[in-house]
Parts: sequence; structure tokens; C-alpha cells
Amino acid sequence: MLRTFCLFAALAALAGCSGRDVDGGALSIEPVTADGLLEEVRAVGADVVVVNVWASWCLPCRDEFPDFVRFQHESNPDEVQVRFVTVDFEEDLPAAAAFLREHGVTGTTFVKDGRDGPFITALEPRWSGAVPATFLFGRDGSRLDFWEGKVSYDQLARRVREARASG
Amino acid sequence: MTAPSTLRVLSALVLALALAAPAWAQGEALEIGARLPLADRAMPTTSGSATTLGQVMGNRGLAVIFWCNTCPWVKKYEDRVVALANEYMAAGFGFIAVNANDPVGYPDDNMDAMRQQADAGGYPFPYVADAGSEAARAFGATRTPQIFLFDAGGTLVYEGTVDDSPSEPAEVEEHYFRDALNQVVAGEPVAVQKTRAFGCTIKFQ
Repeated sequence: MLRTFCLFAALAALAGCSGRDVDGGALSIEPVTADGLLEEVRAVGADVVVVNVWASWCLPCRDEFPDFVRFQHESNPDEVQVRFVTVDFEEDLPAAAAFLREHGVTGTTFVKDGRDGPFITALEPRWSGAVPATFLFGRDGSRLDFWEGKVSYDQLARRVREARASG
Repeated sequence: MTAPSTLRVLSALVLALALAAPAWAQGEALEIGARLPLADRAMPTTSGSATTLGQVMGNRGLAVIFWCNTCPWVKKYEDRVVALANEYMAAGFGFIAVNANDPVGYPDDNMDAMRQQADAGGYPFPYVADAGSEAARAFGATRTPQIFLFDAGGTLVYEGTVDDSPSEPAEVEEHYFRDALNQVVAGEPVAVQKTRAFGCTIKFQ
């Protein structure tokens, strides 16, 4: 089982590791199963929760990532929130943390925990397992949309808009 | 609404859907029972020649593995796939690795890099370039690695991953691909026909 991987901003390196956002923009990457992720989605309390599954070495993931971060910052948190889940291997988590930090991500993000197959099918039976993959969930955790592959900011915004309209 | 207005609305919707279609709309993977596609299509190999899926087919069947040079999952599985190929090619299966990635947009997947990888990895099977990603589209392949196992009659009997533990071979509990190969040898139906695992999206040309 992956231990919680905590990474702090450079000036807060000696602070305690709570796994949650603290003053100073602490970042943590917490292991999460599919069930745990769906619980998190329901707990968020937004009209649409965008779950982006990525990996640090995945070029299309890296290409689209800034658009997801920008979309998160530009969205009303009561309406839309974004959650990132990396599927990096444990030895690549430092690179994942560095990438998140480079893009100004703070607070809690996630790393897939458990076997691949059950995680994939629990999130979405149609998902082949390719990354990047993005899932849109409703306030009650219902699945609203899903896609594999890179998208642009405009495509992301359009899919979320359509999901909010249908939810 | 008048007919021309309806047509304009429908046209706009179709255009919007087309523009919105992300990469996953490439298509679903072949269904179990499907016939081997593109059996006679020549694909260039890292040895400087060309081969077809039909030529690689063995007397027990054929494993077509969508593969590439840069994906960490491919690297994790490389030794295991080479070992399985050495074992099961001797048992009468053909194996072939297919790189469908765009070699121009992703030069680490060009033929020179493929040749280096095949040589360094001691690949006992052909490693071919899928020009235009045509084979990937015909198979409905979306990621690497992704295995399509056909029986000797060219019927798909298994599609999916190697096993359930890419990061730690010692922790494998389900040997999906090996079990499928053994069941084909035994003349038994493949028990677990489709599996899901993480992999890198194919960079379609």
C-alpha cells in the first residue's frame, strides 16, 4: 500500500505532514482506491466534479494539464471542481510532485491505489485504461461524461457546460 | 421551426460534435470472436524488411501486441513479454509488436529508435511500424501495451494486458496472457477474455 506522499513548498519543508492543504500551499498526494475516489467526488459538493487521470511521463497528460489547472482556477467552486489522480509508479511520484508544484497545484491530489483492472472498471467500464482520461461526475456522484485522450481548454469547458446542463 | 432552420441547427450540432470529439472516439477494441484484420497488409520491420500478420501467424495462433518505445508500462512489461514470446513461440504461436505512434510528432518512436529498442531487448519477434496507425484503428487499439490474441483460425480469443501487476512481477496474482495462451494450447475456451489495465494512449497519425 502506498504511503501518503507529502511534499511541501520549499519554505515549509519542515512542517508536519497532514495530507491536507495547510498555510503555505502544502501539496500532498494521497493513495486512493476507486471507491475512495467516488466518495471524495460525492463529498466535494459541486455541480460537476472533473476527475483527470494523468501521469508525469505522459506527454498528452502534461500538454493538457495547464488547461485543467486554469479551468479549475476560473471556475466557481460551487459549480465545478477539479481533482487530479496520477497513476505514476511509486518511484515516479517525486517527478509527479515536482510537476504538480511547477503548475501551482496545492492541497490534496491523489495517486491510484490497488490493482489497475478493478480501479478502471469501477470508475468507468468503457475506459480502456489509456491515459490521460477525464471523468465528469454530478453532485451525487453520478457519471455524466468520460473521455480518453487529450483535450483543449475549449473542449473541456464545453463538455463541462453540457454536463451541467444535463445534470 | 421551418425546415431550412432545422437543417441549420442539425448541421451546427453535427459540426459541434465532430469538433468536440476527443481521442477516445477512435473506436472500441475488437470484440471477442472477431476475425484478424489486415492479415495481408505489409508493415516495415526493424530488420529492414517487411512482414504481414498472416505471415507471422503460428500454427497455434498469433499474439499482436500494440507497443512503443517510450511508455513506462511497456518498459515494465518488456522482459515479461520477451520471456513469454520465447516460451510460446516455441510452442507454435506467432508474436508481433506493432508501433502505431506518430513517428514525426514523437521521434522517440521512429524506426531508428524502434530498432535500438528491439536490439537492446533481444526481441525474438518482429517489431513493425504501423503507418498511418491503420492497424491500431482496425483493431480498436487505444493504448500500449495492448494484446490481441488470435487462435490458429484467426479468431480473437483474448484482448487486454499481460497480468495484474505491472510494477512488481513478484506480486502478480493473475497471469491473464499466459493463462489465455495455455488455454488455447489445451483447446479450452479462454476463461478471462478481456482485461483492463493502464497504458499510454496511442499517438495516432
